[in-house]
Amino acid sequence: MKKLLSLLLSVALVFGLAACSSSNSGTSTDEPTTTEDTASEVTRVAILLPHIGDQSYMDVTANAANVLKERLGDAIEVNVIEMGDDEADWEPANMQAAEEGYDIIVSGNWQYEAAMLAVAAQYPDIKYLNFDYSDAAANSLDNVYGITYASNQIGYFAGLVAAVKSQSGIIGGVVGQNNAGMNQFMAGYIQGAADVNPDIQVIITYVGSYTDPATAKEQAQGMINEGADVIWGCAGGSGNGVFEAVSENPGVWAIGVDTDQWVSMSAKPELQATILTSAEKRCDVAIADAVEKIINGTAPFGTQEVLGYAENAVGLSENDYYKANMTEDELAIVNSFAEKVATGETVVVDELTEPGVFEQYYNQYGKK
Amino acid sequence: MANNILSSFFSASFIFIVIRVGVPLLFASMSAYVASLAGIPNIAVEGIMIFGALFGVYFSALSGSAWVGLLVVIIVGLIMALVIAFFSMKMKADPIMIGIALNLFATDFSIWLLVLWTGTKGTTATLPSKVLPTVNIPIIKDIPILGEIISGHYFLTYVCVVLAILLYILVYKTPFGLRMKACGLDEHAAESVGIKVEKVRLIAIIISCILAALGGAYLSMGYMSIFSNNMTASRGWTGIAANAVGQGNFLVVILTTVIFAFAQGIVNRLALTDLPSDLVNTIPYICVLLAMIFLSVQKYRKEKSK
Repeated sequence: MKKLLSLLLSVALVFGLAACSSSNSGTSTDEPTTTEDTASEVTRVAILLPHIGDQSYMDVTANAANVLKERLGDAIEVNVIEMGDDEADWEPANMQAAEEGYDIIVSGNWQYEAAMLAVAAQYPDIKYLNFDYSDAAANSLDNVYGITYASNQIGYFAGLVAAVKSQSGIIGGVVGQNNAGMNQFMAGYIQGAADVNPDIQVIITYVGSYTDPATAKEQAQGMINEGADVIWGCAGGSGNGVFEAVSENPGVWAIGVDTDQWVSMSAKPELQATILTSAEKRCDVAIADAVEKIINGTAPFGTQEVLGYAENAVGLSENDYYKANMTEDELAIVNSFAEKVATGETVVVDELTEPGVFEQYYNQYGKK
Repeated sequence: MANNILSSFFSASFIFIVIRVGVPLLFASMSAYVASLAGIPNIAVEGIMIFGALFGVYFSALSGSAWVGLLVVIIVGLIMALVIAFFSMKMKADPIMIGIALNLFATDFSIWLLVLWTGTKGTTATLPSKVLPTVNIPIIKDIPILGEIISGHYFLTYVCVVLAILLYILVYKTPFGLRMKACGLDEHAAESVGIKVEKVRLIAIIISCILAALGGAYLSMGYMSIFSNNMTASRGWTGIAANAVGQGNFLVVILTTVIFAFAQGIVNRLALTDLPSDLVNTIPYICVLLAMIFLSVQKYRKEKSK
């Protein structure tokens, strides 16, 4: 019995190791070996992410591979590499990608930009794109080009739709955690809503977790009891609780975040029907644009850019469901305010550069 | 709005909410209670809840019936119980170690299964899963306040209440309950009077794991209609804490769970006010602390009076 068990365990161990080593090489969609004569023409791009398959941020980022292939065809080879969620693996994964001879490496974001930057400093010939930087000073290396997204504008657009659609004049926002990064979304949200309806009343709650949909549902239900009839779920996995609460209350709408969440709820018609639109962060398009700039040689290395609505990096999911449920007039109002953001006539407040602006807005428009 | 919210604490709908948020906690605390009573502490409650939640959703989608999903949830609980029993009783491993291992295993393995079954790591929103029905009790539902409070809950809410009553009878009114207590207090003494310790513990751990799995199913097949990654959000651990406060007294365990549920209900309401959310979120934990202090004061007084 014991012998059998130890045999089983050792077999499991061997398989486990084999699985580890294969995952190290990444989930390359293409053959990583390029023949020498084409190596000069084909630009090899690696996108390094901790994991994919979250139906949200990571998947949109990984989709940049498809956008690039569509635009550039055979002139480009893009591999998405999953680094794993263990922080200790990120620097070795970056190192390995650098050694494999990629021309452009796309990685970064607030969570793992340190690993990328440490390796980028050692490989000055490789071009790096930090697709969602947070520390501007650290990203000033000569071979690093940093981009990020105007989260305040994402909030602004959600606020526009919420205020336009609200009959009661009360809207809600269920947020993952109470920090400056999340309040950056929320300050924009309140501003957008107040631009459309100066009498708007806003209720904001913090779940305290990105994986607790049950608590998010209770909070959303509480808002609905207080009269809110449009609720923005801005809380990662917890946000699903908002859709659940809204689905039990006819006449109330939910707004999604980051990706078009209407698409990801395909098998749940009762939840899908609650999602009027989503306020999107279009990392895929932004990355594809930036990579093209790098290939053309027009990318401003050593500097950083904040991409917003004008660059088509953020905006609303304008799917058929959204168009079917918004009247001509409602769409016109949203578009007219959005246009002002594009032209720069409206400047959306930014909690990160002006700390305290969220509190100021919430004090003014929070439901008393 | 603050006034509205304060007055809402004294309404029937608030009690309804407390029951709704309290049921998964009660499943978890009963699960922890019955196992620790028999002397085989089960700290894998959280992990088993995750499995219960995921398997229930998947098999209800596969079969098209929530009841088949529920059956699978019970089987999953049974399998987890056999795993714990095998390692702790046959292989003589430390039950705490097994619990830690199972919790870690469940968190990651559930994500792997999610990818396998749905291709995503977030939710099962791409599976047409079913939910267990909501029950409106005839006659009672028409009684003013009372009907508002106890009618219209999810199916598993009533199952939870019935199981709590059955568990109370089992522990306090049957010889088997006495045997469980004996095994928990001193297994050698229990053995010396002819109690089959392993058999008693096996049954206790099976009850415990099924309760935990049902707690998970409550979250994903009623409260929510999808499974989402790590959705138990420490409810299993809250149950273990409630059991620790109860110190072997089932009624105190239930009372503690009810206090936690009230605290959680209050937090959900206060979240709507402009009180600082970080502070409000500590209310349940302060309740745990107060309950602990209260109990040790009681104990101290008792010992002093001896």
